Amino acid sequence: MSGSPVSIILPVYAGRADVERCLASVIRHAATTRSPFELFVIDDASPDPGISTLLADLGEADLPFPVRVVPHEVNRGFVASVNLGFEATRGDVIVLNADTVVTEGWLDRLVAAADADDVATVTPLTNSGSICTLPPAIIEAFDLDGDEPRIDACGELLARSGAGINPEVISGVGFCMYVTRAALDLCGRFDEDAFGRGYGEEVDFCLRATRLGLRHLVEDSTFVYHRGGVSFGDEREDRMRAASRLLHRRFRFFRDANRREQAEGPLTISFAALELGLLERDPERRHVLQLLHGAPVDSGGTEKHLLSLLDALGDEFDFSILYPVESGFVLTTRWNLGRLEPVVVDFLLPGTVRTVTAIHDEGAAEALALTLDLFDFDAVHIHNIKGQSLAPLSVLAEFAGPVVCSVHDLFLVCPHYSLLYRNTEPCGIPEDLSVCARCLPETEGRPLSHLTAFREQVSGHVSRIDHWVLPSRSAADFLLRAYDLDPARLEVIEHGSTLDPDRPRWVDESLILDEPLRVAFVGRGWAKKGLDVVNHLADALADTDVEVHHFGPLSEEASPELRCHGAYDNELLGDLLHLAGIQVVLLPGAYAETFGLVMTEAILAGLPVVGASYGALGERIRAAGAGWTIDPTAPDDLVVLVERLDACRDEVLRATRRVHAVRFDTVASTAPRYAALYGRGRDAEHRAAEPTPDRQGTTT
Amino acid sequence: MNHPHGPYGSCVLELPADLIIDPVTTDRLVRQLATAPDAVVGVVALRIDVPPGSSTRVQAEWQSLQPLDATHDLDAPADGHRIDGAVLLRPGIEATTDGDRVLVPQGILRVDPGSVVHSAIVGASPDQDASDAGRSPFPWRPVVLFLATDPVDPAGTGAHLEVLIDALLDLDVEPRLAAPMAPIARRRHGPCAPTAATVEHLAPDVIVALDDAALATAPSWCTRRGTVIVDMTAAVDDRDGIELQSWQIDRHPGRVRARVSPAVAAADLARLVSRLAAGPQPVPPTDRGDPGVPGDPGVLGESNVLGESSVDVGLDPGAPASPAVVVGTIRTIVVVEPRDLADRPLLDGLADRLVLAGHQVRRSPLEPAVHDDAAVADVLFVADPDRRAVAALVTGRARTGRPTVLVVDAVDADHLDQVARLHLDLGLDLDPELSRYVVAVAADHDIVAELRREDVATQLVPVMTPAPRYEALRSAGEHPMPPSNPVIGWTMPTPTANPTAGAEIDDDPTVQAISAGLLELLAERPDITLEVAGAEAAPDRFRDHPQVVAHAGRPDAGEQARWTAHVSTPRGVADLTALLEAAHAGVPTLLAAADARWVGGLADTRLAIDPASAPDAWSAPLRQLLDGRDRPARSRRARQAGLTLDSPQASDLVVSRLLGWLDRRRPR
Repeated sequence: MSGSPVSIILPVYAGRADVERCLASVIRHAATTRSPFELFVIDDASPDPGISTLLADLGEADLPFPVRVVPHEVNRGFVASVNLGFEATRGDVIVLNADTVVTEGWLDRLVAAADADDVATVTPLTNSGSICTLPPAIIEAFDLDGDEPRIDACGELLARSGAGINPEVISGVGFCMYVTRAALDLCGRFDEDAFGRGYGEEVDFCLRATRLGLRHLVEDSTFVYHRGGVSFGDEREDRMRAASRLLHRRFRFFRDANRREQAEGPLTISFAALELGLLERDPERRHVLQLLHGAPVDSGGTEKHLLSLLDALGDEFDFSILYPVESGFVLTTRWNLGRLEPVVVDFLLPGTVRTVTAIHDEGAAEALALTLDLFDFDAVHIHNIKGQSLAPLSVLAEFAGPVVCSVHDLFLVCPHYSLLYRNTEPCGIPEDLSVCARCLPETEGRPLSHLTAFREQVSGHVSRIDHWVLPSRSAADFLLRAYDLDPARLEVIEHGSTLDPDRPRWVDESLILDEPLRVAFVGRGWAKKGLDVVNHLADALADTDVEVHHFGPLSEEASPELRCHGAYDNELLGDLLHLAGIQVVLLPGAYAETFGLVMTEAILAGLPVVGASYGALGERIRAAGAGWTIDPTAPDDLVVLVERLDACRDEVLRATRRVHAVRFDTVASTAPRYAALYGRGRDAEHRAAEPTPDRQGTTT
Repeated sequence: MNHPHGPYGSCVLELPADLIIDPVTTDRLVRQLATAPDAVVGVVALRIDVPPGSSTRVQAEWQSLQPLDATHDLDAPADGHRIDGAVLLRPGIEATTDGDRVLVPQGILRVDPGSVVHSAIVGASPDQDASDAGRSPFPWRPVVLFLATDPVDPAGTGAHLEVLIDALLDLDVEPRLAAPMAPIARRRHGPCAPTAATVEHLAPDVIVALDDAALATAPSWCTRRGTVIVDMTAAVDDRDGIELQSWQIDRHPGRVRARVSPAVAAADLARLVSRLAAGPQPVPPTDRGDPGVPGDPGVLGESNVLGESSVDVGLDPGAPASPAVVVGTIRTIVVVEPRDLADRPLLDGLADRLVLAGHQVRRSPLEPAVHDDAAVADVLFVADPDRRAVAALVTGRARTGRPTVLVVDAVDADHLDQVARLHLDLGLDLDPELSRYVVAVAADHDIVAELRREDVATQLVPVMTPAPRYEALRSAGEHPMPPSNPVIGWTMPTPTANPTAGAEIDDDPTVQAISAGLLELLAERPDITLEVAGAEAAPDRFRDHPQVVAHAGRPDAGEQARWTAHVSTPRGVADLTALLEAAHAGVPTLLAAADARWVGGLADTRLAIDPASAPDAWSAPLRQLLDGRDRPARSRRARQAGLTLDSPQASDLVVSRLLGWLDRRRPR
């Protein structure tokens, strides 16, 4: 910024009411404007004598800023008037249309945004101004297209909730454009000869500045109302077309750049922040960012748990969720504004179509950093950063609040997070890395060096995790095989039930003793979860009374002997299993589960389960006698077990009775433990209150 | 001599003092005696030895795999029965014990080879490897092998080990002892030799090494990848006598994961064993030929967004071809129904869904014209029959092996004894073979329980919506007509669902709270209409209210679909029809939280009202639904619940289950 005051260049021709309103707004907000400025008004031979009188009075008024009124003898048009202003002033200028209304703090924020050597122009947001036009929700909320627009209220929203990231655009917009004197000195004035009375001249100016390495910004916390659409009447369309042709001739890059800008939407974040601001999140409520590997829809176990947890904590916290999508990263809100459902707004952070493959992905780092800049967060909770690389761990090194990491799967142990050696049997996280050297190229297309670099990266950042949350002791023990973690930071919190654990259950002896044995494989139908084992079972028992069912989406081919029923809704799974008369649920995946939400659903339905002897399923089955354990890598074991259960229904009855004795916490009852973690930093004072861990590093 | 070894009803278990019986066996004895003819006075469990490397419990489990009908009967010899084992006797049957024998003076005894008892004193088996039946046929309890290569001092470590092992058995662990010398002792397990074969047969989850040589040898004997080793060769100073050995890679390679004191408490050791059994395998996998199965499911692998259509049972769009539900052979079915079909939702839905499942169904009152078809139909369904009229028909069918199903609706609740007496009238209770062909179905738990108490085999079957009504409701819910004014539906409990409430409905605190909440809303919003279904039971204050429209029965599909929200106070299974219909029509239903619990998945937990006696608790969510923003999500949830529980695919499950049950009741 030059040392001279900012000059507001205001060409006036017609529309007395608009002019009155514009001037009134400039005067009204002058008192709170810190930056020195003058008002330079050009009376462009207005045909309305009232306007001339108005401007004459303005020139003589006692105002807290200098005013110059320059009358034209004949009408010379907008471009010439602005050029006159450029020449008659010495500092930075603001080209302001007469049908605008400025809002509180507008000028100071434009000045601040322009405070960089390479900035040519700064444009505020408006209700009618090309790329700077606010989204419909905002326009509608403040009736900006109506007869009584709530201009000041809209200005307050932008000042309060604007993202403050001032995105860069190809060109400023002429309704209210701050132009630095440096840009004027380098680029000269508007091209009056080529653009005549107007349209396109400011774009031409901006593109000239761009060619000289200067930038154009949008001040995304400032609103200037623009009534718009009043200039040139019927000539408007013709002038636009002519301007477009001329610009294309002069700047061959313009059309492509313009298309690219429209596709990328540089103001997406700014607009999303404003839409969120419209929702008026209560700043007193604590705000926690959740990091996830995919869209938070009610599909996988992690997502189900997360959504339930957020529901349970919704009275106390607002949440936002950051997750990767094919075209970048999405930030989704779940803010409780006193309705039945939390308010969910998605917005796409800038980026391009991409797949995260690096250990540290710069795009993922930027997305998280941007998110942390956009909103104030009190805590960050990592659920799964598959698809975000390990970058969040390094970004969070700078985050001041507590960082919680839930271990839903063992991605942080190995990129091949199922830990199934060559996709067949559990690897147990081998000491002998030659095992991994055989597995990783085949399963992940990676060399062993990727794994060692990956683990080094995690090891380097584990100290940034304030609290590790493990849904089972087994999950903790698998994690501890890979990393040396501070025992005081590990806590086992079993996933609470997402369903009502007090729903009445009934041991139907007649069903168990008198009906055909019906076993059901529940969950996604693919090898990781044991589809191949179940196919083998269904084939082996095809000629018996035993019925083998599958509930869940199929990802791989099922045996014709398997009775497949397709995807199901978790909340209704118990009812569906009872409709079918299922007596035993099969969870025969070789993957070492970290918890097993389907097992919870089965037990809540009153059904015993068959699962791997290791991992969380084995741990939970043994804890309650809630079924039977098998070695999933030996498919005949399952066949033999089911044949025995068919032969001895009393055993099924005994297990069913044990299952009915199992009691679950709800997600709501475990939620206070998470709430405590969100409020607990790394200071020793809080740590002293934590439970005592055992030597292998878990507390329960 | 009677022993309090468990609940046997009024029967008596005769168990000599030195024998051990496992609950697995007592369960079986009770079942065998319950199904034995009256002439059989008791069921015998003979004594057998515990094999080396097994336990009494595991041995009992293996024996229980014997078929229930693999019994033989012993006629009473002149000097009475002298049984080497235990006997479960009918009430009033005299018996005594003589040392390790049970003496039963008279009557027929049934010997069940699937029921066994064991001597409490088990000898040493130092030269024998563990039996390959040492692991349970129903595995879930972890197997822990205490392994010693040096002789164990019987008075010191040995005595403590026996106490520890006995306690572990009660903590759902299967402990075994493999040591060179194990003296005869009172125990529930069979010691075995410390050999590689023992370790291979038992494939233990944990080996507890009792001496240095065992600690050194055990790893080479392990054939199971997951087996971990615990070092119990010396005292450990820690408070609980357990010192974990970090299993972080590169710290302590190998199978040893902990050191424990010989004096460790059984409960602490049981917890440790369970934890170690669930942890990472200490030994890496080895290649076993073609690794085969890919782990990546492809494009379907990472997303599972459940739209409404994706819960269509058997219809999973986009998934690889999957076999449809197997309904089984097409049956000819005759449904004998009463002339008055009012209030028979179970019968209506079931008959209709049988047709939908592809079976050939004929519905008719019992008239001569239908009699012949009914006699030979694959299945006969009978609702509220004139017992005398159907007795001959049903008996004739039973004699030719054809099943009959009594359909018991809620309206039959007050004469269940008559349904049960049908068995008597048919004489079926005298002939168990015939009674297997006459069963009942009911939708109400209480009715099912009552019929089962009367020895009528009864299956719980849900009320299903007849297909035309189902289609109309789904269709109306898909394109609800936008109401000019918001409408709230309120379904009163049906008298049959709530036989005890009757006139006291006004006194129900939930109904009072709903009334107050609704009246407040009506006063506040003159544009709202309240439609009351089952209006004859509505509280008086609503009868002449200008904003209230009364329906005597269920409103039609289009009318329901126009409701913004539905309020229900179900008092029984019959009232679930209203919830199902609203769900199909896409209308969210508000229920008291206590009702939501028994209603199950049909209830939307977000609309479960608690406290139900507070008017505001009802009016607040109604206001939120009326303002429109939250309704679409609740409406989708309602339709999804209706689809999952009452779609044709769902009823295929019900029909398939019912017919499968009838098939299984046929003699093999």
